[in-house]
Amino acid sequence: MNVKIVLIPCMGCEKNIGKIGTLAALSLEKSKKFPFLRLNPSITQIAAGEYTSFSPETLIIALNCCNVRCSTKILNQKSIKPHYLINISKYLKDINIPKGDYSIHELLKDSSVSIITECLSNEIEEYVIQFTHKHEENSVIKVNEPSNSKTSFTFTPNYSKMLEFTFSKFKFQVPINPNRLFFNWNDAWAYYLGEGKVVIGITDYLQKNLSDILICEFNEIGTNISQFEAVAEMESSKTVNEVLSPFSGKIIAVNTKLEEAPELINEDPYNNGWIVVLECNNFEEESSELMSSEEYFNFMKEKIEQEGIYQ
Amino acid sequence: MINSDKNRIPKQIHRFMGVDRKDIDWFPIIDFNKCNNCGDCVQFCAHGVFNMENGVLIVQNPKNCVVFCQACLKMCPKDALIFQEKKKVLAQIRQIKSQQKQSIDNY
Amino acid sequence: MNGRKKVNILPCSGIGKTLGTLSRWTAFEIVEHLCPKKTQLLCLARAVVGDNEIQSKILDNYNITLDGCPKQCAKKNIELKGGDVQKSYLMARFLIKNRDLIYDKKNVIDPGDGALELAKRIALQIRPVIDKIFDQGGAI
Repeated sequence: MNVKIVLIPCMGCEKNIGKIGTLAALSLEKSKKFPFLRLNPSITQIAAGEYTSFSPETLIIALNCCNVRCSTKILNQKSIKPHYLINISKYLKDINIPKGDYSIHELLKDSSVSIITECLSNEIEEYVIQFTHKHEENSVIKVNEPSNSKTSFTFTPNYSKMLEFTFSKFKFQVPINPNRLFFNWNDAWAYYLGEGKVVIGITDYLQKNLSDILICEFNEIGTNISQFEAVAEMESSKTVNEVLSPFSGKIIAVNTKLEEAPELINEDPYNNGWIVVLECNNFEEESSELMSSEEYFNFMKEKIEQEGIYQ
Repeated sequence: MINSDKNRIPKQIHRFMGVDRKDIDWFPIIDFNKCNNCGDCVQFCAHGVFNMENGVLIVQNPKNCVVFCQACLKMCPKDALIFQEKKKVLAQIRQIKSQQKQSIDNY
Repeated sequence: MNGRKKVNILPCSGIGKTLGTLSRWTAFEIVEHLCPKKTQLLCLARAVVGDNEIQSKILDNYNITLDGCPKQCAKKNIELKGGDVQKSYLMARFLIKNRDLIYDKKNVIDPGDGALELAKRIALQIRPVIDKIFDQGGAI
């Protein structure tokens, strides 16, 4: 696998997890498991020139150790979009790391460093496969297929009007379709396609609150979802958020475009930024519990007036 | 008024699915066997649910918690936050709704 | 409050050469062993991100930056954030004066005992400066 990888660790040094993450990143590079992996000199470097020179074939991975997610945030400040984000703290469910005061030299000898290096290595390997696959796929599509792939689902909703609420410099939109559009209290919408199927996405309000969405991960096609369970999880430059399903049912399609371009959710939350299609278990009953466009609009207005916008 | 101060506590949302938020038992519970009081959740939660009191994590505003939101659970490094099962809470909400409806009907 | 102000130790995030490792090891040596009561270690990345907690720590305390190479990312970033840098150190300078120590210059994880010894020596040189800053309220 000769993919060029740039791994950008946060280089944390305050908490044990930061120190261990840093050591793991350094160990991985030293192991030469990925011959073309290099660590970026320093994410905190003032001169940003170096970061804009990545070729499109370079796989860029941001490595965060704690949930401050410095690496992601700094890259975002520099307008660099990593292909994948890794957060070391998620490994902690299965691995115990030393607690309390440990010197760097004690941590260096701790077994958790090698275990986390291994986890990191496996995760990167997976991303390399996905990344290579995507590249091959893209080049195939370019040659053979101009457009209209048979399996892909095209979402063409019909909105009669947009309700708009202006607050400070922001404008929040809520579309209207009285028979087809439903909202829940967690800022997700569902558009009824007929035959018990709905398209699910997030509202303009939530999108603006999250700010730049960097990653959108769906539950797999075929997964059964209860009402208010997560159909997808997204990570933005500011926070982590789940998309809670307005309906219960089975996921039958996902918007794979979001894997490459999660910013579609920011740009066009009610159309191209759709997230999944669900085959509902109980459309009639559950839809009666949800809000209409006007109800959601008032709910959203109340929320904004009370809480402001998280910017 | 663009909100950038993480320390302020926004007012709670009063109703969820047509039910008074105060009647819904949805909030995090801290597993003190696991929690190391790192305070990441205090920083993370935009609704001011958590706070630190003398260096110990507390759930200060449980009813500020957004019903069915578990984002803090995702980011807790120690996996020390517990929520009720969504199904149970949903059943509770539906029960309250049907009681409300009944009392209106009886009236 | 004056006597309680601490000295922030901010190493750079260098990765490419041993210099970054040396700045971090020196920082750990100072904060963990030599002056744990007078100093605190801060992540440079958090400062760059503009994390509120770190930002106020930078503004409310004294700052010593430890940079590996002459790019001086730690010093420049802290100044950019409005922090007063009482003293900045450059690891590269110490190498010249300590040529007797032998260590693996390419190993960024664990350059060996020579590098550890060097970190200790540098830390020892910085200690009196920390004591001065801490005891005399910032004046060196």
